[in-house]
Amino acid sequence: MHKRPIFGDNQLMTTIFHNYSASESDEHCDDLGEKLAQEQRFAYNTLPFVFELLDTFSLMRCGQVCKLWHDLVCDWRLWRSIELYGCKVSFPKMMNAYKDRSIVALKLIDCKLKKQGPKDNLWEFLGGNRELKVLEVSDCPSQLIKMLPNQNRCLETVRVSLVCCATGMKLNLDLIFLLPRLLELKLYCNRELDNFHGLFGNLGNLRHLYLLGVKNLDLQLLHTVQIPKSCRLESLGLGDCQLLANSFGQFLQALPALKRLRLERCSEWQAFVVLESISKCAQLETLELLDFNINKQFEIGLRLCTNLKQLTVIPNPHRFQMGAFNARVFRGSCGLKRTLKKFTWGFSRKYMDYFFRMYKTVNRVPFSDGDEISNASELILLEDLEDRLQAEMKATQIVVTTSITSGDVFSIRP
Amino acid sequence: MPKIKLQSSDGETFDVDVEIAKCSVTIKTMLEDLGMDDEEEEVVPLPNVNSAILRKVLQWATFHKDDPPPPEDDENKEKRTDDISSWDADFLKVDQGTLFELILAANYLDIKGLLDVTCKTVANMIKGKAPEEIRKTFNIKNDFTASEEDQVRKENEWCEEK
Repeated sequence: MHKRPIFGDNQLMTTIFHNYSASESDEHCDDLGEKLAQEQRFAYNTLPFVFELLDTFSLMRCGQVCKLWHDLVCDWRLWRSIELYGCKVSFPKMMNAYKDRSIVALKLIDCKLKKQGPKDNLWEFLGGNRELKVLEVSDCPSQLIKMLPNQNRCLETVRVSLVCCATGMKLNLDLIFLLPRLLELKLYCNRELDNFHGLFGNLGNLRHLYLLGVKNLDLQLLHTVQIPKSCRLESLGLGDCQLLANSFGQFLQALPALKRLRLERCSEWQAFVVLESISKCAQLETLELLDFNINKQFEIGLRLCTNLKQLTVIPNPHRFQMGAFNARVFRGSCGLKRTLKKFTWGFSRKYMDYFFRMYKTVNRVPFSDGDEISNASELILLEDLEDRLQAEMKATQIVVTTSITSGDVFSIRP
Repeated sequence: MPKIKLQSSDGETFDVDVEIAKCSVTIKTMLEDLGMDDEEEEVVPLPNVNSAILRKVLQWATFHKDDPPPPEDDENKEKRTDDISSWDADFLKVDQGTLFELILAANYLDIKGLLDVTCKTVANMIKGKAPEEIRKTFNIKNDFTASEEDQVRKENEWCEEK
């Protein structure tokens, strides 16, 4: 954040951005000038910090509010990162607006990317912006992944969800070693990967890899992959895959730098064996389990994971066992109260909606201590759940949230 | 616990635990530079913060005294604004003038956590609103001429709502 100087005294300000004309009736011209200057100083020392937090479209709208806001919005630093949600973008016009200035990050979530004219497309734009380091695109045509290495070799972060290619076509991820600076790849793709085993054989400089939705992510075979000793993968996310546990342990052992592991929507998992494997990775500090069935083995397995500093769990909305799942998450996490620094318990929107349909109760979740029949469940307010956990785990930061979703490769969704 | 005295712009003094006062990097640096740690009677003047705002700032700092240090900024940090804790949300149920004065004070006193959460609150008041709604929210008059307004619209025409 760029610290801006503070001028003068502001305590006279009672309303913030007075109408300039509202003071025109003021008889004392000096007072008027003084007041105006003061309001400007006030705005200059507060609004830029707010604007830094806005997405590009909101920023544009701020620029249309009044002259003062327009001046403030024009600070070029605010436009180095373009972040758009649900907009229609014309790339030639965008390039025209940007002229020779560079864009460091481009995030297009739920935006219309359809080709409009011969030059009106994203590829052209990527080729013209050599300084781009971060690219985030949802509903992205799958050719992008193939074409990226030709368009831009500076990319450090790529997060995309792919709209899929023709049936039967496999996705090639050679960009991992074709982009020399690539540190992070997060990908949602509901097709098969080409040469999945070769992928782990050459991860280039990659530090963070998330693969979600991939059809042929077969962890049972992963232990046959030769992962080079030089592999520096720090975080790994795998979703929608079969987790057959024994081989998973061997696979984890081959990733010596792994600090963070995220597993999503693995319907069949042997909770104890998986958690035991995780507990043997001393350097692994962060574990996220999204949309999991929390069976009895979970509690016992989790107790072994004293290596973990941060844990996130989202239990699956299971029709009859939601209460029991929650009770197990509660007891399991409390078992780590000596070592855990932060515990996040997520209830996805899907979970809350599902639960609301069943019980017609808002912001409460079922909780049944040891009982698997949800009829006997107690219904706990999310806030009370947070308080109960905090009372048990005094040294751990507790967060109960409904804003985490599985299957999302993007940094934020509005 | 050792205490120091902070003096607001309107002359009120506040007895504050040194550890709490030090969540302000400005005060922390001042104490270290001047070696004021031992001088119990020393008063730190804060000419840019009035007593009402200073009281709020100290209330925030007291609640957050055990927070881990905020992460370093980088250019591509996530612009998340929906992660305001319920305590902070309650604490910031104040009039707009106070909210903006808290931003000013947080910046002057260099308290990153408070600056973050106050700015997020204002950002949430802006997001999703059309220019006219923003004007209404903050009581601002549109001072663009018709041609200027046109010009601004042109600047932004590369992007529209789907």
